[in-house]
Amino acid sequence: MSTPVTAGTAVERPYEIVVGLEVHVELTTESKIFCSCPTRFGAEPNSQVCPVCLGLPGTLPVLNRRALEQAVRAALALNCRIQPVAKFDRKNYHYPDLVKGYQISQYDLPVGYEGWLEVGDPANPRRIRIRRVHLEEDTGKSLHDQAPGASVVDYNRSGIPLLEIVSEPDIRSAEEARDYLMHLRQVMLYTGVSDARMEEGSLRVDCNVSVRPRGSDVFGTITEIKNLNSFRSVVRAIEYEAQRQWEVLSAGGTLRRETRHWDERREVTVALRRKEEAHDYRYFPDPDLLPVPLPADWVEEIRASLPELPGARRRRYVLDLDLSVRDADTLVGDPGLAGYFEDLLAAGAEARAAASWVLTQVLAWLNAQGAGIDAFPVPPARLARLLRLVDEGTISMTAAKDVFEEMVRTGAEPDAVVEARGLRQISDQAALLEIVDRVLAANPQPVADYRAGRQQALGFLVGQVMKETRGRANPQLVNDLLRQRLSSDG
Amino acid sequence: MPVTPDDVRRVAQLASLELDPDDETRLVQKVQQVVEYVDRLQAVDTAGIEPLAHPYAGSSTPMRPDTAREGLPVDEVLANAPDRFGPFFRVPRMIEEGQDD
Amino acid sequence: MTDRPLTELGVVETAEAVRRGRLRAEEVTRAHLDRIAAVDGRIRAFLHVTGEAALARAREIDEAVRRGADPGPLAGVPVAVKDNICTRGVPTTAASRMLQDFVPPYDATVIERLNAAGAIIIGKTNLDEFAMGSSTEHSAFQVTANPWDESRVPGGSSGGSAAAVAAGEAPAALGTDTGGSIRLPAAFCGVTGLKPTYGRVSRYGAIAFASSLDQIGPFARDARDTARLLAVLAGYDQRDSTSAQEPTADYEGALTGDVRGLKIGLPAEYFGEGVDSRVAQAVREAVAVLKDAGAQVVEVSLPYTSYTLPVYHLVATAEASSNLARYDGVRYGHRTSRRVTSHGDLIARSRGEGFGPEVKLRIILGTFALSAGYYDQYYGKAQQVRRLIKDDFERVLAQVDLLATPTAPTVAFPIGERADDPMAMYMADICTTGANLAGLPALSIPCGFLDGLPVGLQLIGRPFDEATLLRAADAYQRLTDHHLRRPALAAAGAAGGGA
Repeated sequence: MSTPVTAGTAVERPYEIVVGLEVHVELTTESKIFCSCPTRFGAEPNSQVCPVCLGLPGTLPVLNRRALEQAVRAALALNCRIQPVAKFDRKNYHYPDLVKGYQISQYDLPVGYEGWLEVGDPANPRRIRIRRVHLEEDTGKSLHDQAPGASVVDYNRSGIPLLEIVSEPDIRSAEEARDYLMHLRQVMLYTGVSDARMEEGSLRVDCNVSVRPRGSDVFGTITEIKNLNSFRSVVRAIEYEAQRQWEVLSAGGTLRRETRHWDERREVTVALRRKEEAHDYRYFPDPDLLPVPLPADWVEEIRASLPELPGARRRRYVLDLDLSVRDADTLVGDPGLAGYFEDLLAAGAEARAAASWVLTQVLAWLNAQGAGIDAFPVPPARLARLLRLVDEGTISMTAAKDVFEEMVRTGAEPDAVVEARGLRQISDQAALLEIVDRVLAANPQPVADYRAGRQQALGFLVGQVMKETRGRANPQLVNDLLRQRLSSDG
Repeated sequence: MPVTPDDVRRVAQLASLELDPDDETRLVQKVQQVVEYVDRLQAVDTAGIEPLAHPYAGSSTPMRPDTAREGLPVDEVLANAPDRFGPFFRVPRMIEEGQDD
Repeated sequence: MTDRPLTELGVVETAEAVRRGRLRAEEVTRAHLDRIAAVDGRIRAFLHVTGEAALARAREIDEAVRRGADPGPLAGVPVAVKDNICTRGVPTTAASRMLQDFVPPYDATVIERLNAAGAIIIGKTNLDEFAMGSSTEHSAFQVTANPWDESRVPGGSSGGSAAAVAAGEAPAALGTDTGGSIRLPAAFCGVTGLKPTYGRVSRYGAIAFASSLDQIGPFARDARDTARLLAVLAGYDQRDSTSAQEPTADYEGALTGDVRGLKIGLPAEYFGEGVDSRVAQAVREAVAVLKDAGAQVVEVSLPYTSYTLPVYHLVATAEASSNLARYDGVRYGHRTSRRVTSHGDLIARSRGEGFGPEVKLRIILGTFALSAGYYDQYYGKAQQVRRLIKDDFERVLAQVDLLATPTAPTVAFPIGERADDPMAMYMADICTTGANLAGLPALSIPCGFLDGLPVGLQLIGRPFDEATLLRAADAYQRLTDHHLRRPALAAAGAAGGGA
């Protein structure tokens, strides 16, 4: 099996892909989960380590309050039920990057459970259920390219707070998996819980993949795929693995329940060479920590402090404001941009027009500058005024783009620019009618062509009126008046 | 509940404890003795009894504010290292995943 | 003052004298270092003596006094510290090859408190490896001898600390108690040893054995000294999440000598089978002394007593198997020098080489108790019975103020007698593990001698009521002199015996 299956052949597959995702996100706290070491990214190796996160003999953990708040916030944003009393358990195993020989995690009383996330078209969403959201500590990081013939370990990452988010196997395609991850990432950004960047390691994904014949509701043998470094890898790995499994089954073979490693370079999954050890983690309640009550009133306070979440915003944009799914997704995916868009609406702009401006003119400027929305020099109210001028017909869209450019460059008010450059559209019907009649009289052939059925002649006539008015006629009005004249004299 | 030498070997593996064959025989015998002794607990009626994980029932774990404080200087971190490579701890090459985690 | 040797003065007397400038800390420290040099060759209580560092610290204390400052309630008091308590810059080995060369970069909270109170850390004492044992014979380095009879064990696991105090090498010592490891050696060595209520003293810096059972506690030669030490050690520590917020008491102020109306319970199960009848008798006689002084004695029953030891061996070993997982040869501690090609082998081999047989046994037992398929019937079951044991104590301590029992079923046994027989060794703890499981304070004081060997009286109290235990112990010590006797330790090779 060597040829990867390309995306887009889903309809032709005789099998159904079943995917569950296990996601880890790093929280944005200042300090680690069980000690006060800094969590800054990119520090010198082993420079953000203390006796506790180094696991020295005699040290003990103390929980970071903010990490717990973030966990509850995320769980609520993922529509989870919140445990009345949570606890921490020890997950026991040995590995050089695990300083205590156990990881403090949560086993049977996680912070959140039975949640969900909606993906797909907001008018007809699919709900992916979330089994659990829990808190745990990160391990150190091992590197294999520093010391010749050996590996080395840096413990700066040891003790960083992580949220583990486990979905049910409700995902039915590689694309849907990517959708889920994007939506999940947005929730993390909106709640301020995590930066959730795969390339920085603040979002990590393990995939559980199985296949089954279409129409079956029995679950097949699951493979866990690790070492996925981007959303793209996730998509490709799922498709590759599903196809691999199907081919094994179709040839009459059996699948082993195993962990496989995604080889980014060759774009295949590889069985791990070492013997698959029985993972008996011997979970038991961590005796160095006491129970963690999550009182209902405190949880409600956190719930009340949640911003409008991406799912709700997406629904509002598509169902209430009538934006396209694509535009809605782009806006929701960029909270800063969406914030500006919301401010435009608050200043009275019409939704579709506002979305269009933000996603074309404003975004183009930001991309050209390599800047974020905070650097955009036009306050929303001022841009909203420009949109209003177009909406009222005072200036044409073409003129508006010029005005926009000057507003951005000089900080001028739109009305001032329009007046200074004489861009006010001619919308006086009587005046335009006079010019229309003149043009019609001067161009008998195009008139005849139009009446003979050639629609493009109208365009020529509109152009002529625009020329006469030096581009300042309201093109829509010109169009209407010409049609009116051409049909009535026929 | 009889404990077999295989049980002990399996458990030693879970605990990452290499036992040499001399260790093993004596150990198995002692484990068997102790397990036989603790098996008397099975006779106690514990129906409906909540396990006691801490002497304090109903307490809640203290929490600390999210303030960062500098950790140990890197030389102190590495002071007890059996094998140091610059600012790192060195270990045998970890090849299974072939990749940073 | 100068007619008695400085090694005879005790904690309170020394501290008060140093504070007032009547005695120099440097002199006191030097006297104890000399004593260690004279007798520790035979007793082998110490793994490390701080020597010059202790003298330097003592000089600082003296300088503070000269300047008119008060160095604190333990001014100039030499304290020996069990070597499973982390001392910054001073080797801390847990008596294990695994930590043979380990030097902690931080002090345990109790060490910070001792230092702030003006105490002098005079050395680190021997123990059973990782505190697992009842005789100190499981130390990887040396066997400590009982100062009363050098052919016998001092008890364990804090045998070095108990022996040091008994032999006059230090007036105070720290130990840890998980299943009796302070109280048992206190009984065998004829000194006073206290296991505080769980959470009373911070565990931060104590090398963990069993997290829900461990407590650090003091050794001294009487209740008054013990009260002073407890006052310094006790209190909430935000670095230990299991540390209690409960306010501390005025422990010294509680030593009124008055036990009238004090209700003492004698649980029948601690005086029956398994306990040497002469030991039981000595303890009853001791309680009678308190009764004569006005206390009330009540026969009570703790039906779950016979289950305390099996529960202990499941809970403690399970927690230990996890607490000792960090010793993997990667960041500190013993790493195998044999060639290995995988990290799995590195870890397994380092641990195999670094741990002694008793530690390995307990790790195996604990791992077994937590493993898939066995958790419910072993660890889970033990935690349920633990609740029954705790409820038992609670019920009885609602009717009486404290309980009196033998600390140990026998007096000190010969070195080598039980070292290869774990079950026989474990039986030494049958009277002590209950208090650990229930989290209750318990102390041991000498109450007599059998064949020249000390007998220990154990007092078990309500949570955070160390004051009542100390009051009862102090009252007893005002009326008796067992705690004043000293082992001979005269000529080389002479067996110990009563003074």
